[in-house]
Amino acid sequence: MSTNSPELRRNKRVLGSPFKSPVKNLANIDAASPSNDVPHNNSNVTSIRNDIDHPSVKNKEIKPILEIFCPICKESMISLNQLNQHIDDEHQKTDEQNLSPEPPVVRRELQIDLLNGDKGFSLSIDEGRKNGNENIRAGLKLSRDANPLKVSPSPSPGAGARGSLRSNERLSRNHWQTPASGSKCSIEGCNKTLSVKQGIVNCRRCGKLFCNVHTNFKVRLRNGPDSNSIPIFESLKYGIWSRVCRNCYNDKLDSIKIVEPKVEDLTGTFKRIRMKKNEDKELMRNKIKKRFIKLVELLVDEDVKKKQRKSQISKWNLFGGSDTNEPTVLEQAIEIVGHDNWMEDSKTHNCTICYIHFNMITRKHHCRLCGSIVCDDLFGERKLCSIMVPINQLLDKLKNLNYGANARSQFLFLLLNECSIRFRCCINCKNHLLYEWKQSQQAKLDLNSTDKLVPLFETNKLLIILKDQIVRYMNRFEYLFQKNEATNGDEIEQVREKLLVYLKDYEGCSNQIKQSFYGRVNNALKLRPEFVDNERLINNVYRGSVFFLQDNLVKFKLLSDKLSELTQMELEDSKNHFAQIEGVQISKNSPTPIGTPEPRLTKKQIRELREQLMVMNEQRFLVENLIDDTIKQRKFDELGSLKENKTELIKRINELEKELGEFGF
Amino acid sequence: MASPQKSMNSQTSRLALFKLVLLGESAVGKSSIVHRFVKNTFDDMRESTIGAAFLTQTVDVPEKEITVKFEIWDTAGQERYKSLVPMYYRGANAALCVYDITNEQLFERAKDWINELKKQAPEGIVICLVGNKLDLEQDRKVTQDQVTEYLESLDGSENIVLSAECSAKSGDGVLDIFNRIARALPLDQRIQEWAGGAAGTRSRSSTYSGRRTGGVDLGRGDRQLRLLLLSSCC
Ligand SMILES: Nc1nc2c(ncn2[C@@H]2O[C@H](COP(=O)(O)OP(=O)(O)OP(=O)(O)O)[C@@H](O)[C@H]2O)c(=O)[nH]1
Ligand SMILES: [Mg+2]
Ligand SMILES: [Zn+2]
Ligand SMILES: [Zn+2]
Ligand SMILES: [Zn+2]
Ligand SMILES: [Zn+2]
Ligand SMILES: [Zn+2]
Repeated sequence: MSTNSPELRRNKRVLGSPFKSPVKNLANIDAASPSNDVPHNNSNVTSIRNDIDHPSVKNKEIKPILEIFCPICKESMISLNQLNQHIDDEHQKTDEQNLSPEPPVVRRELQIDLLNGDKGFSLSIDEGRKNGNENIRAGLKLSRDANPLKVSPSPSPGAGARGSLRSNERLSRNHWQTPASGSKCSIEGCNKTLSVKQGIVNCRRCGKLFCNVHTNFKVRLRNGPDSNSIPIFESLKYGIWSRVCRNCYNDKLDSIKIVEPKVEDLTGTFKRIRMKKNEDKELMRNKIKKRFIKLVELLVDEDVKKKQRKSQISKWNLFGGSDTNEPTVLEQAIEIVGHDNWMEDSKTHNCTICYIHFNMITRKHHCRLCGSIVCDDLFGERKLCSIMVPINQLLDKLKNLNYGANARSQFLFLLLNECSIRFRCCINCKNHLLYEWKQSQQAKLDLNSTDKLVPLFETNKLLIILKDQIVRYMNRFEYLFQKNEATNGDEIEQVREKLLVYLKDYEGCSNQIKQSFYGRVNNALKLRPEFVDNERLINNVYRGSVFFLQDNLVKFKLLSDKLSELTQMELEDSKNHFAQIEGVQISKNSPTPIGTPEPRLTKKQIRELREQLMVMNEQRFLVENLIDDTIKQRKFDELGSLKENKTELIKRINELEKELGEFGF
Repeated sequence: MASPQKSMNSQTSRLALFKLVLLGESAVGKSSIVHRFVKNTFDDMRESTIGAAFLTQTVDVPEKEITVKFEIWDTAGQERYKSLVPMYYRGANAALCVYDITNEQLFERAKDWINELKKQAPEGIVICLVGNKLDLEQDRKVTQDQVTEYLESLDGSENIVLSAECSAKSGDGVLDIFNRIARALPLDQRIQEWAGGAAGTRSRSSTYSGRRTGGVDLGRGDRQLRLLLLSSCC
């Protein structure tokens, strides 16, 4: 039975039925004296407790269409708006409320009343731990309080002293194990022989003997139902703090663990509701759109007729005509909206949107698309509830709808001329109608704002490639320099030249950013106003490039100055020497003089291999970008080939670098 | 006769991945053909390809209840990128050797590519010699007779060599090429592999990664393997 209770509760809640009048229930409790054995079944218990804890239950009679209820107190709601409001109102100070001690008398009496029932919620330990735990669990499920301490096992009938256990009362010691010489700690695996030094302690609960270490735990206890039963846990303040063994402490933790998790994941529910809402909204938008098409057709038709009448018949008919024809147009309009949707004047006293009360000045108006009665908030004082919209304004934004024959034939005329055809439209319907248009506008805006940045991204891409090269060549340059191979062929000179080119290119790109995005104001560099939206992005890119350039230019200048000094010296050196070192030109430790034996690779080979290496590196860069894009577009099935190719490229790059050896970059 | 009905009845055709590579000199219109096939667009001012571009597109083969998904590597024709190309035809199941019908020299270069493929590419690769820019018929320099003659001279080689003409600009004949290639690919073998995979369980993915789907050899090995699996299985 206890396992059924949550489902039972939920169903009830969903239907909205458990919310009886709180006053009535309170009265019931008052009437039911503790000794009265009034039978209660679970669901009854539920409803009573719900109402007791939250006497502020509203909407007793409202049957919610959707399953919306407060995740905290489970009160059912008719709309998400109401739920928000409710959470603000009722649960802002939830914590305080939960922590504040509740009226103990009511609670205890209530619980005893419930637990005394025929169904027997006895928590007596005689029935065994398991049973007790189950009852605690049952009690928990009945409570909606997350705080476990609020759920307390209540004394069973025989316990007497219902809630009157005085703090000076002693816990029963009848069950205590008497120590004998050589007694061991009852904790399995402890094996300590109990002594004055190790401690000879009776657990206040189970009564067995333990060492000091294993009785270093405290819990609140009170006496069991009769003098021979062991004490039971009592979390509330009338429990006595008592020393217990580790086993009992763990038992207590277990029971708390059972009590503790009162988590209900409502994500799924909310998700479902949200999806349903979105679907409903989309359906509504379609409905409104269709009605709009019909209404436009009707109004245009009417307008044409009116003009014909105007030209045919004399002036008086203008007024008379409108008098006699108005009802039919209105009737047709109602037809479009649907009679059921057309709100009745007599039953409506407040604006559907802003709830203002209608009177002589604030008049009722029917929205021609949804049929709601709304006010005319001409001056936008409230929520711009409705306005008379000239249809050409809407037509202009909704050019691609499947308009009827009349509207289509007049379409351009309507668009291009001052429009006298208007209709009453509420703000909601206007939003429904223009939803897609607004989205596309937003998309265009987003596009524009990034469009402006395309040159930045392009330049940045170049900067990144160049940076890569500069770092690589700079490392090589330093390496060669430190290895003191200034005269090793002309490699270092080549590296220097390459580096210079890349640095210049980099500077060019950096300058390009400066020129495209910044202007000078009073001799200071200032971001152009049209880019302020992306100020941080642009600033970071530009600053990054400038810093990188400064660092590397300084380093480059330093090294290349030293290099020219060195080469000068070495040149003289080698002139004097003219030695023939039968050496391996590849050996890196010895500075190799000019005019060494045949190099391992011909210049042409080196050039070709380098070119290949560059192509491979470029391709690797491309493929890496492709992989990123593929991941972004979630085309994971294509990832395999790309990654395979990347591995292959890396392999080939390594091969080439090996082949080039010291001729590499 | 029964086949169309069969395909109607089958719920889903299976997807077979095949790699395809485009070869040919710069500006013969490789990228244009691919874009016509993949996106049905044509760009007069297409930029010359850098490295190799990667695109995918599918072709339905209803009579076999298979959808062929081409993973296409569109290589660059410029001399600079020549060293990159072998990497892409080495793993390919099909290759388009593209020339421009208004230029005989480019036709010769396409032949060179076919020769290279025959030597270097995996055996069983489906080759298609494609003459592009059919819309420039008035400037045609490579006649269809020349093509037939060349294909006849190839007779006796193991590879399937198809030939086709198309115009990426007008779109004429482009889809046709890929449809024909899809049908020339070893689809039956793939189906067999799937069936074998179902009977021989796990080893499918590792054994038939489908990258280099060779000719008869692999089929025999496949049968042996299946026997092995059957004998060892409870
Ligand atoms: N008239 C005509 N022009 C074409 C056709 N196909 C491509 N082109 C043009 O030929 C030029 C080169 O086309 P691409 O597709 O870039 O050539 P590619 O083979 O990819 O060149 P690379 O990428 O350098 O290898 C472009 O200007 C195309 O507009 C075609 O069928 N007819
Ligand atoms: Mg290309
Ligand atoms: Zn104990
Ligand atoms: Zn112990
Ligand atoms: Zn209003
Ligand atoms: Zn009205
Ligand atoms: Zn409305």
